Amino acid sequence: MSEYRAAEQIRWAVEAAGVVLINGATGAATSLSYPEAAIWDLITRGDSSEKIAAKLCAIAGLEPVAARKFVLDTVEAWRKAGFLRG
Amino acid sequence: MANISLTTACNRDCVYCFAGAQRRSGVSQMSIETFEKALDFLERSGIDEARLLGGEPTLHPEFPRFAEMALERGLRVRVFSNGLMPEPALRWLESHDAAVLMNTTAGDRRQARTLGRLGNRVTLGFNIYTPAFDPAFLLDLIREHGLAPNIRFGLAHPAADGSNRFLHPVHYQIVGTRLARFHEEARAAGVESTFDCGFVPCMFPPGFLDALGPAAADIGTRCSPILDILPDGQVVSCYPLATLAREPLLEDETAAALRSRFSGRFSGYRRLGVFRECAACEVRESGRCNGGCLAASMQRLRPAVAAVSKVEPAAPARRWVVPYVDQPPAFWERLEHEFGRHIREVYFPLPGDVVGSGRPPQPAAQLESFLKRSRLARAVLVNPITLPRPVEEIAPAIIEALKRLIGERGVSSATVSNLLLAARIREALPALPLAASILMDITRPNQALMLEGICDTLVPASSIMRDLPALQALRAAFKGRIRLIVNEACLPGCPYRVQHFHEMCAGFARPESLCGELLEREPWMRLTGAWVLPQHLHLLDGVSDEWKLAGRATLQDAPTYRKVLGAYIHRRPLAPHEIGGGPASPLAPLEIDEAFYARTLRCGRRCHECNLCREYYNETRV
Repeated sequence: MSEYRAAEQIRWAVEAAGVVLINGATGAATSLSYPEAAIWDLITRGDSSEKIAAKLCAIAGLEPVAARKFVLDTVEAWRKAGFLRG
Repeated sequence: MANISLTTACNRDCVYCFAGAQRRSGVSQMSIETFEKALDFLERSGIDEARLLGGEPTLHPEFPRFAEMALERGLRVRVFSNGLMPEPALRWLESHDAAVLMNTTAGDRRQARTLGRLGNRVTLGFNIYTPAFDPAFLLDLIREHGLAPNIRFGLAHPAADGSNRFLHPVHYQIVGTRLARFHEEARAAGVESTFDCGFVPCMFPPGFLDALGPAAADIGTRCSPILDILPDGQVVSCYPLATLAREPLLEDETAAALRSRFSGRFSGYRRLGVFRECAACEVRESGRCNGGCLAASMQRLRPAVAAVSKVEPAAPARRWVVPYVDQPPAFWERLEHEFGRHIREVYFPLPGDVVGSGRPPQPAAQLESFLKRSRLARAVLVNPITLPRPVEEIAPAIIEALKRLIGERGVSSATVSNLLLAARIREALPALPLAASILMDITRPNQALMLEGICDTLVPASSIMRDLPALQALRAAFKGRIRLIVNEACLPGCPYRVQHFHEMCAGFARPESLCGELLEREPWMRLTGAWVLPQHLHLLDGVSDEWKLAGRATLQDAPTYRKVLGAYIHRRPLAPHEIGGGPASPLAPLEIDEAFYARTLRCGRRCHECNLCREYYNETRV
């Protein structure tokens, strides 16, 4: 089970170079480029942060510890920004 | 620019219409006070053209008066029409200085009357909702009727509520290539092309925009947004986004201020663009393209965008077609009070002895008072199982009777059981929506094709009422509305049906239900009939646009009528013997399990090799 889910008011779309998040309540848009965009995509598929960190090691060539920290920092920033709940 | 939508009424049912949500919530007509306000708004905003649209704007009963008011204020008048105009509107347009933009589709002969009489006042419009389109016929129409040498192309954009067919951006390039080729042919014939909102530069072949001339300026940048003033005086940025945000038309408001508010509300979405590649596009960066239609862009979002703003929930669609029963005005007033928001129309047989209808004659002592006093929309049945005389002989009398009912009693649609008769009615009364009766026995997609251009609504045969794959095939094939009868209850493909309906319709004193002996022998067959219980309607939601309650003979008792209709509208459970079905329906209390009912929707009625209903009946009837 996913630890985080997209907040209800957030809608998102895939772009050529990342994803764009839109807050349905305010209309504000935020662009995410890679590798953050990949993290967003994996979260919405229901992956846990552990699993995402493991995939990031393979995708972005990060060390496991660095990947895990990167995922947790990113997710925490999104939670504070209201993009995620959980 | 801003459009004034005079009415939601329309006498066509285009699959791509993005005003479907407004139309399904019932007919709404703009009042003269609101129209005055709209004209004030145009003047205040420095707009010199009144663009009148609908629905079909000429169906507004005050259309000539409204158009005249706009002219008197010194505004130019442009009417957006489907060409199926009532005679007074057409006469007004013939004699006044107004332009008409007429949307057309290939082969719609009903528009010829308007084209012939308005000639070069008409500019043709053509909406593209599929990449498989062929605009060549437009040049023939322009030549034949001497129309304005100009064609306005539109893209069918998605309504935010998902109610219409639209051109997916993945097909834009195919469409752009075809249009570029057509443009060369058209220009050689002296005809220019113009483009409505949503076209983007990258859908056309290189060099096309340079060759196009001034019209190229509109491609990619046209959405400002345009603003549509709805019949109730609310303003939306455009029809496709109408369910997401709307604003009242205030006394001191200008178009620029409203546009600014809508633009602000949707500004985040503007970043999207219709393609993934829009985010990094140089043309867009330079301001020569805004990324295409906002509604099309929103289709890329996951999940839906319904949370974008706080819009009041739309009124429920009027989806119920219900029978006239001979009850006093108080009954109809109460019915309107309780269920008026759900009732699409009340149907009754064509009065007099011109032709019969699908049931024995019923009492009609209160019919006149109903027609005079009730505000519920009314429809007339012209549906005997066979006509008593040849079509050509009997059609004029029927058409005359219909004209009287339309003019004097406000009848707004008709159900017809004979296709040739329907065609004659359509020729004589093009604005009258027609439904193909259940007695046309339509079961297959090729039959749906035969109805095209004649019938706006199709009531499928009772033999497939419980056959979901067959209904899905019809739904895909028929461009109009599908209406399912929920409680007719005849056996599927009943061999006794034609004689039974003949006896009912011909006025025999005691018409026989001829399936009685069969049902005595095989009572379980009562479970196979054409009925659906209120609690199971959702299983048929995707294949039906509207529902019809039968019951001219079986629901004459007022409390029973209200109970059954209320249960269906609110989907409260009923047992099959309570729904007012005919003599072939289950007569004793039976509990119908949803899993059982759902299974029968896909069984293909292979009763010769299946015991499901027999066993269910034997187990349940105790």
